Amino acid sequence: MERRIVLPGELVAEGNYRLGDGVYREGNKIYSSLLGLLDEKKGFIRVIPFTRKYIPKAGDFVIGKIIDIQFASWEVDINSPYRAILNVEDFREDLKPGQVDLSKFLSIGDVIFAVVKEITPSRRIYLSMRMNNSTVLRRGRLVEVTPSKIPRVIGKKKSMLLMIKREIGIKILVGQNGRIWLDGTQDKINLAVKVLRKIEKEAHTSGLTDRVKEMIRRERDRK
Amino acid sequence: MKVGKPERLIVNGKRLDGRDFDEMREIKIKAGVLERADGSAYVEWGGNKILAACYGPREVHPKHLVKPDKALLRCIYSMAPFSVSDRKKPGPDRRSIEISKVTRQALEPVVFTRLFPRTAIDIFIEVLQASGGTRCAGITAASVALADAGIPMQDLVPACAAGKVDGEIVLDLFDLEDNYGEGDMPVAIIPRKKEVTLLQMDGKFTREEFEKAFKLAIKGCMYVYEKQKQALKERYE
Amino acid sequence: MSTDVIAEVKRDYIISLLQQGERIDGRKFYEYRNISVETGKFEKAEGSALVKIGNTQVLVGVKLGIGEPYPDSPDMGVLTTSAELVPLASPTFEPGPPDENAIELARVVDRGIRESECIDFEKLCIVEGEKVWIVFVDIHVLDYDGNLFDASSLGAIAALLNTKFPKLEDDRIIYSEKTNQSLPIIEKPIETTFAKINNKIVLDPNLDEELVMDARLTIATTEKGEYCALQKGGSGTFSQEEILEIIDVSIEKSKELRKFLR
Repeated sequence: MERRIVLPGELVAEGNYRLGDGVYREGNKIYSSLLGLLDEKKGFIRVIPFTRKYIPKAGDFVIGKIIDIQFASWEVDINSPYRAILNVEDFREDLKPGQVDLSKFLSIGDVIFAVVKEITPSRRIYLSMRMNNSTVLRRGRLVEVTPSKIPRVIGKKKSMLLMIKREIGIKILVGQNGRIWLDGTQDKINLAVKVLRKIEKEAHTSGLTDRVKEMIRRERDRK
Repeated sequence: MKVGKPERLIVNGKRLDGRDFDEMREIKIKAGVLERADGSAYVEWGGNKILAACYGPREVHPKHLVKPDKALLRCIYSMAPFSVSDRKKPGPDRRSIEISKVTRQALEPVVFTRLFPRTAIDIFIEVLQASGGTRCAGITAASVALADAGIPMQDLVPACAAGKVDGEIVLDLFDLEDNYGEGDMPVAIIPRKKEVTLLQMDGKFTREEFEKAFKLAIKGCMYVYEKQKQALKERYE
Repeated sequence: MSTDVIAEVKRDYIISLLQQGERIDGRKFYEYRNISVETGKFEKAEGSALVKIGNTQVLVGVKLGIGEPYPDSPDMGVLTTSAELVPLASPTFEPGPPDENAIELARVVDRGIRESECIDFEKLCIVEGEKVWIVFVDIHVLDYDGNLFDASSLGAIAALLNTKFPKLEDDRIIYSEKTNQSLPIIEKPIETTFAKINNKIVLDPNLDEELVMDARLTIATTEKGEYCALQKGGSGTFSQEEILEIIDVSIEKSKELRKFLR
């Protein structure tokens, strides 16, 4: 369905709809609160912004960096207006506050792959590392892209991401917060970064996955 | 009598810049003109050239200003030294500080600050060239910059001034009229409900004159609103 | 916050690219980004120039006023240069009086203009010992993406070349009436800035490169090929050989920038 660009204050619908982000209701009328694309399906309506910021949602996988250690938790930077908190019991079930020196497990500067467990109404963000693929990222390189381009980096049914992994031969972890972790040789990492920049620039075009595959093969043959 | 005042501000039914009483100056607005800012807008309004940028939501510094239940909206209006004929010394003066405050209060009612507690939304307005009505142009630009940054709002906020010049009520005063006229009334509104978020006035108006100027300014705001919408739609076409 | 997190990480990536002879944005080591200079668009200023180098944008305005000369140079006009890193130009610029970066920027640009003797100050004298023209150069940074020095100094000289005297009637300046008379400019100083990143030297650092550089060197040269001002910045060091190589390249590169001046 064709999505149209809407503006703050624009009337987008009337009547009974479930409201997502970017819209608000006044009486029977529903208005957009954002500059973005109107997304309407089956009684659900929202506006997708063009913005570059990452606003966390529960369930998102994120790549964060430890910036402070408290008594029973770590403070984590997740490239968002909000810092996140990782409580010690969300790191490992068997650890209890007060019994351990937290810096033995995660020190300031460490990079982690975690999930957003919960966001309270006052926007306190809690992470958890007790999911299967949460890890501490010790080697490798961190790259930042515009958060809104992450879906394109992953691709439909992960098509883009899997292709990059396969063609370059590199480990990649993608955070919804615009951060991507690359693990491999220096050459492969450099190529992967070039690829990510290309995707960022051309995210809105079609045929991108094929063009990226082309680019990777050309670079590989060059070496 | 003020030095430099032209003998008449209205000659043969036209204003000194050739406009009719209810005619606006030319306005051009472009959204998304800066690389670093989260949102930005550039407005050329008559001889005014104004750049506005928005950063946010972002962390609040200094921390003690944090509001637990909403975003802190901050606004700074500033004029470049070369923006006026008599060079303005850099740094905030009392006029800029007041304009910063009323600008913030003109925009605050529409921003959904409760969606981003404990953050800051910062707005910066730089007047690069001034030619009368910079606060209205600044609010207009800031509103577009906020939308460009993806800040959720009830509506855009257009602003426009009307005033009295040689006894006549006119729309959108330019600098000579601003300096030498008999009254100036800048207004900003939430267009859909026509609610007023900025209203200031200096000069002397009778009750009739007030209403005429007020309604004229609101008409001007609606014209400005169309320009704001156009700029945002063009950003992504 | 995120800026320093990423800076650390980017440093390794930028360095490894440089080892392979590449820069993060694909430029050659001694290549400028796209440059544009637009003059005279801001009419309340007696002269103006908007300079873009890549995404960096700097607006320089020149205002003329009348004042007393300095006691030790009673027959010479006065130049004063200031810079504002306005908060809208970068998330890292805070409102307030000029900080050490803004002050350094203004003084380095000023030095290039002053030491090159590009303005014939004696022609700015109105009444010796009493009244001279004062030239205000105001640098207004609008978008910071690296290398403010070159953008600001190019803007300053372009704005000065673009400046016209306003009408002077008895003792009053009538700003609304510009004459056809230009400022007495007899030289065209150009500044070029190099960054050192882990033993590699690059021209015109962009923001990423500036955030990870060890040191920078800005060189001002005249049209005649003389050096008139230098400034090393950053807490790293340069070897003597590096400096000698840089100042040679600087003369070549300044010719490219000078082409943007009318």
